[in-house]
Amino acid sequence: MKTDKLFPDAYGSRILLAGDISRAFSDPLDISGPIYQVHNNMLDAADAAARESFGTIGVVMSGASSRLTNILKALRENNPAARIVLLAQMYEESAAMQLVSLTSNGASLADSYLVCPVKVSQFYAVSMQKPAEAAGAAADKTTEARVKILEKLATEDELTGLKNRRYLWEFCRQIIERAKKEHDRVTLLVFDIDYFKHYNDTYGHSVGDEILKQTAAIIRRCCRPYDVVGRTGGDEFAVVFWDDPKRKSATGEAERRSSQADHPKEVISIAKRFRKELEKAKISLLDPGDKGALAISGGLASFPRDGSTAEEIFMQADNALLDAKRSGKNRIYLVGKSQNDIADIES
Amino acid sequence: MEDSSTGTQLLAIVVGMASDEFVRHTKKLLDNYEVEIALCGNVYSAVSELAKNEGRDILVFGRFEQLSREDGRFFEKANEAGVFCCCLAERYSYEKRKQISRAAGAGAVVINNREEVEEVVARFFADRSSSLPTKKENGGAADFNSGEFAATKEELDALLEA
Repeated sequence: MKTDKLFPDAYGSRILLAGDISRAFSDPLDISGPIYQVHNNMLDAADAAARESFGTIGVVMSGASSRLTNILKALRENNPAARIVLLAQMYEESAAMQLVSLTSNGASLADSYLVCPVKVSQFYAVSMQKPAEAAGAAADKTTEARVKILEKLATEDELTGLKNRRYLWEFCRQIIERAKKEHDRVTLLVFDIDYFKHYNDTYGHSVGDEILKQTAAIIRRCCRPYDVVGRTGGDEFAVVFWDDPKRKSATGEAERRSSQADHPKEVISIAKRFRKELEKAKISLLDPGDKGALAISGGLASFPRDGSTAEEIFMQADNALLDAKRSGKNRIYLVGKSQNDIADIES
Repeated sequence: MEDSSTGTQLLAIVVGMASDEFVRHTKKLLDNYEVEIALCGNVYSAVSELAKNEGRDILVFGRFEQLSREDGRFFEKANEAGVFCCCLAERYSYEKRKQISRAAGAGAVVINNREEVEEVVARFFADRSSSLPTKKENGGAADFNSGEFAATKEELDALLEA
């Protein structure tokens, strides 16, 4: 569908898109027609903004991170009334939030952000929102709050508050694409709770839910703030560990790798800590025999070693998980290192 | 300052942080020529300044690292707009040589030490004053970017080969 035909009376009439739109939109071919001006090069976009007034300016963050503040300042200065919408990859969400809160000469650098992949119609709907001064700041904030609630519902697991399967897959896909360009490593841990059916059948679903919630809280607590933790199914969980650019520059590459495992050293430590914490979990409704017996089986796979796509990495980690289960449960296996529980690896 | 001989104002855009020694040095130098100066913190701001001042005679000064961002697009834009562009590339790696050659190919004058800017500015104004009487109607600053400055590109090529 062509949005210029769908919405002929667009507010602010023209839309400027800056950056590589193929990395931001799920349907970039729908961006066509006279209302759009697209510039892959940020300097061309700044030039266009100096020559013309736009109702909305969409800025693809990906690939422009270090220059983004200067780019946004130039766009804002040239088009002070435009709504500036950042198009952030999932791993750029915290940076987008920071940029939205930044001001330059009293004006915010960006008005809002959308997490990619974005549908053209979704972007267009945000473009149509009138600026705060025209529509009233309160009304605008309400709309944004509603959008945030809907986003939360679409990306989170209601029971545990972790990310859901869809979010995790998409994040994994995006972060692997980025890792290919930046020569980074991405590690995936998938795990499930041993004998979960037994807990559910013996104590009922409310206790089963409590176990899931406690497991979620423990894994979240053990991971680093930027690792993405999700519940992918009944008692199945997954964590995407990735290289945070800020940390990467602070620590040496060699220091961060376990030579034995060829996996990030820190991930192994996190997984070990998680298992220990889980053993200590106090679930009051369990019989004495089941207390302290909570355990998980898991598989770890790394990009680029074990696969080049999210699908391959998930499949490899799943296979390692199956190996761990077949070998007696309560262990985490590395891909290609059967019988090599992470407990045997020095961290 | 109004250039009464031509009716057009000459504008010098100096790109970089105000604290940068090259920026300060260039600005001080241009002050002697009583040229209107616009200080731009970065290349994005500079390209906006170019757009806003379209039609004027413009000179741009900045460090190569700043002006060459976004695949050297600034040099192409400056060239298209007939803008005189001078950049300082003090240190450059082997990888940068290609970019520098491209910048020079787009008409930019590349200098490799801060002091050279004095000669570039002096030549620019000498060339400008000598060409004023015969200046073409639509002529821009690019008119001054021949002759003397062509030699600078050759010097640069020799430098890159060294």
